Amino acid sequence: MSAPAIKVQNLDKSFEDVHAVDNISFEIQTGEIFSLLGPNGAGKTTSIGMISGLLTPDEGEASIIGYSVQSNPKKAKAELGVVPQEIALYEDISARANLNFWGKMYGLQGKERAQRVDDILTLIGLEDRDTGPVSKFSGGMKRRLNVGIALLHEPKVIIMDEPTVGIDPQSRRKILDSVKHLRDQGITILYTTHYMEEAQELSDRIAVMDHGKIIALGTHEELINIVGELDRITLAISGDTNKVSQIWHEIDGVKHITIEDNMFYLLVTDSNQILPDVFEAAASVDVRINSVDIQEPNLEAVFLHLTGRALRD
Amino acid sequence: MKFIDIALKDLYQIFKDWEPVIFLVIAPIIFTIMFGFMFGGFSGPGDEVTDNRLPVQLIDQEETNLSKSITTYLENSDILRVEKSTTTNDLSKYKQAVADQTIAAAILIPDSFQKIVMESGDIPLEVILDENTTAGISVLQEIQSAISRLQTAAQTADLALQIYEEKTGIEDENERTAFYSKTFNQTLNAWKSPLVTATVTQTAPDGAQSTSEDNAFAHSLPGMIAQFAIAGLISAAEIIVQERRSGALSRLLGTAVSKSDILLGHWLAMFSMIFLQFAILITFGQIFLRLNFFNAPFATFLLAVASCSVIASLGLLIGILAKLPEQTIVFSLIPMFIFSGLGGAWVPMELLGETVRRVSRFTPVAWIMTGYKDILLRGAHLNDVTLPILVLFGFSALFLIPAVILFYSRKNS
Amino acid sequence: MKLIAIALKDIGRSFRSLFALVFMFGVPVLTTLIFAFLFGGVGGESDEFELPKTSVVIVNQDKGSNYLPVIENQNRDLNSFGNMLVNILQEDTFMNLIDVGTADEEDAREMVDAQEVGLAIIVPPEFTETLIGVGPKTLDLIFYKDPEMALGPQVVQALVMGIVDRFSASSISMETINTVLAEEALTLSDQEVYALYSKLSEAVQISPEESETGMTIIAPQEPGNSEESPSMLSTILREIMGGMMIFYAFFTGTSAAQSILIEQEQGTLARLFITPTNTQTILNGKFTSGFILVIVQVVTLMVFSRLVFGINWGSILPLFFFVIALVALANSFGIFLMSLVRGTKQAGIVFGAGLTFFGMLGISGVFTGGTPIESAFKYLPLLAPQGWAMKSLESAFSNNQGQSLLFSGGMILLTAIFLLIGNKRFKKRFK
Repeated sequence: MSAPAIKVQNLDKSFEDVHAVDNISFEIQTGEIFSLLGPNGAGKTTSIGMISGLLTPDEGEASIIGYSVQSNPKKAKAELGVVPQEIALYEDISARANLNFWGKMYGLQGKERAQRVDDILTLIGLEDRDTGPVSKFSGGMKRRLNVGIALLHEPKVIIMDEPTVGIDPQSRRKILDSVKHLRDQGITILYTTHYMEEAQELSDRIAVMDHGKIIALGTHEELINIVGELDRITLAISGDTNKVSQIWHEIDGVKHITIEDNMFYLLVTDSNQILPDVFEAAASVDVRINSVDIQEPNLEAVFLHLTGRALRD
Repeated sequence: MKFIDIALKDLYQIFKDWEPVIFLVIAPIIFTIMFGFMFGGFSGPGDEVTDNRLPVQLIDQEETNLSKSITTYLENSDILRVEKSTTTNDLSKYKQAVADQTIAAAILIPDSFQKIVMESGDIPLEVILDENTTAGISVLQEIQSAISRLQTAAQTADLALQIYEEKTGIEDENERTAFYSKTFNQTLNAWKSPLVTATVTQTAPDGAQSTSEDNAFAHSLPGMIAQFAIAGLISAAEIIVQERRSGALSRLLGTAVSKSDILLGHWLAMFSMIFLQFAILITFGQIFLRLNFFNAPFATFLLAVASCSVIASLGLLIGILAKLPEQTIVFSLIPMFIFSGLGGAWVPMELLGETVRRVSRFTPVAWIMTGYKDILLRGAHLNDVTLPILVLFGFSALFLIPAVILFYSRKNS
Repeated sequence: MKLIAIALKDIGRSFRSLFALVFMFGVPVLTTLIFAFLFGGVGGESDEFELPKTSVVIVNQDKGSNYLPVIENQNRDLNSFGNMLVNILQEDTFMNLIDVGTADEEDAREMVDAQEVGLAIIVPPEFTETLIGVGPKTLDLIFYKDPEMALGPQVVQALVMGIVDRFSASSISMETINTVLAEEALTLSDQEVYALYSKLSEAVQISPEESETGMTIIAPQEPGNSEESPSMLSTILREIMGGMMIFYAFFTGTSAAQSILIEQEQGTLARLFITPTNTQTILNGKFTSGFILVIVQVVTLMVFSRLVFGINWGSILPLFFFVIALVALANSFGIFLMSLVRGTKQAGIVFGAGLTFFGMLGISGVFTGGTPIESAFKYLPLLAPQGWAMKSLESAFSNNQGQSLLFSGGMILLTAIFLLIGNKRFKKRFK
């Protein structure tokens, strides 16, 4: 059996008083898209920092295609491409010059490098903008180049750290499609995000992370099953939250209630059946319902169920 | 009064990093002291504690009464600090010492010295010095001055000896030599109380007449204040550039603030920063360098206002012209060097040729220095510095007008 | 290869930066050009630094004396030493140095105050009488000068007092001769006195330029090459250009090291660490770019100043030691400084304030040579690495190979220390 594409064993990292990553372990098989899902500050960037060799773990080890990142970094990094969250480009030189330079850093030589640069420029749609300084590019173009650099050396594993933060929906769509395209070519992708829908759409498996720990790991269906076939009803109310909470707990079918800032999150067995009871109960204690949202079981619900908090910024 | 708000915002941005600001006060002080000494005149006699005379090695290969008289005479020089060396035929080490500037010169009294002096009246000293250095020039002047007197002594001794020989018919060589040496020495001693002495006077800073007391810092401080005020424009001009690049200017123009408010606010911030710099450095000069700026307080103040106005206007122009923060550095430093260099901030005007003096009139720094030197050295008051003040306001307009035109003409200025 | 790729990338970016180019080449050249213009020449064989003429007005109040025989000077009969002084100063000999006019005292003082002349010399009425021993024992010659001038009046004063010395000589000689003869119980007849006086007066009329002194001036050790001694202007410019070159070489070295911090903030440094390139190679690449940039800067400035200002940089071997040591030290100091700071903001302050301070300290000898504080600034510059560089360069000027080895060796030792500390700190930071 071949080594997993990425293997993480008991990685642990603290910064002064903050235990950023708390003993996490997982394996990612070749050709998987594996998402690391969690809110800001969950420890995702620190985790991939250790996996990519940028940070030294306090404990534990990571390996890429069987090569330990900590003890055999050169070989491990040769198989790895990283798309950082922030755009990391030399903006005063051209796209071609950027790619050429990074190609050299990845050990590409001569004609091979020149060919790969051309290929990447075509892939990211910048073949006509290869000579002017990158500072003149739009944000979307810079992001594409940012991704292109990670693909230069045809890595077997790619880490993408929140690549869609702060970009327009069109560019986002393109990135998500390109991730699927890469997977189709047999590349393993570790994808970090705090957008549930991205994790849902792309991933073969998802690890949910919070406060440095992996609190759940599995396929989308496996994670949803944690919360069962429960629907989520989100209600915004005006009135006595304690009274209405009490009365809603008594409704048969309401499995879990979470309250945050006058927003109620109810996990229920069948929203269609229970909703009228919910309204009636609220009216009976003079609570006004201002808005209602019904969602079928999703990762947001899972996160909420596991942490008691919403998966949002 | 929105321009005041803009000015205060700029000042906050400038002063929140206090380290560069401190540097803009410390650096001119350091440079003032260095340039002050550099052109404060050649070496002097020193005081009770330090002997600043030029070190000179003297090698007397003859050791006669005559050569000793000369040694004693040179030892009493106000300019040279003579140290006697052991006799040697190898001059190479002295040449090396002069080349290394460990000594200013070496003077050799050769072993045929007395004979040559008595026979010809020449003073055959051999002097090792570098005529291309200021120390060498000073030594040469002093030695030439000494030789003139030594020649007089030689001539006097020769004439006296002739008369002595005529009247006494003496033939003994030793007696002749002794008489010659005695006369030579007495003539030299007579120069200790010369008949005519020089008294140097000049107008004192309070306008009175006084004996010359050159305060070299009166030349260097005004120039350095002006130079580093221009250098300080870098941070202020950068704020204007960043405002435009970040989109904050467009945002500001979308409010009820007028373009003139914006310009005035930026200008006022620069003016205030530079004025503070001037105030600190003028006070420093008054207290620590004994420069009497406050002898003419109104003139000093108005000249400062005019100077700060020019520099602030230049800063505004730089901020509007520069497209990148880097460019503000270049656009500030180049005028700083040119105006300061040509304006006489580095080298006193008296050392510069006529062409340079004419060119310097086209630099604001020259006029700043003219005004302050008149106040500090001639006891000038407001009437006397009216011309420099008016010229400086003229320069101010020269920088301000294109700045305003450019700002108003740009689309999203 | 990766090291070279990193170095070339950094060098290319530097040459694209106007700021870097201006600091590397523009400012040192501009400063020296300004000094060259100020002193009225651009070096070369025949340019000499000349002090501009000092305008002088003489107030001749000397009433002469009946006891003074008529003196013939330049085909004119003069009856006072005051007139003689004016005559001598108006000779062609001094026309390059002074511009002489005459006026009464009130006008003369006004002319000085109005800066129309630099100096007024007031010759008192008893001038001749004192000089021939029939008037007051001693007398003051007043020099009333423009307070903005120092050097010109000083030179004129020395010149005038030299002339006055010659006038005094005859009286002093006369008195001394009388004294020594009297000690031998001898006296002079009136005839003998007159004859003696005539002989003494002849000497007065010989100008210093015409009289032979017998003095020999020997130049100190020549530079190692066969060129003529540099002119004074060339010497001044060489010191200034040398100082500027050293000053800005350290800026270039530090700027190159600062790129590490800039890349850290931009995120490209992290990206470099993610590639299969080890940390030391990355740091070495950055250090190499600094070395190359400083070499290019120093060589370009030296060649430029040689061609344009005619500056002779001294003999080859010490110069070679100096260049190598300067390149090494400028970069290692930059690496050391940048390793102490956390980000580009702090670096900016170090850059501006720290480098300027150490730079000015190191080259302070350029400005303080020949001044009263020269001795204080003899060793003080060695507190700054720039001071060692300046000493090494000066030993190249004087072809002092021993000193050159000493200072260049010191620079290499400092390089090793700074590099060791800086490299260690950077590696630790990026571990």
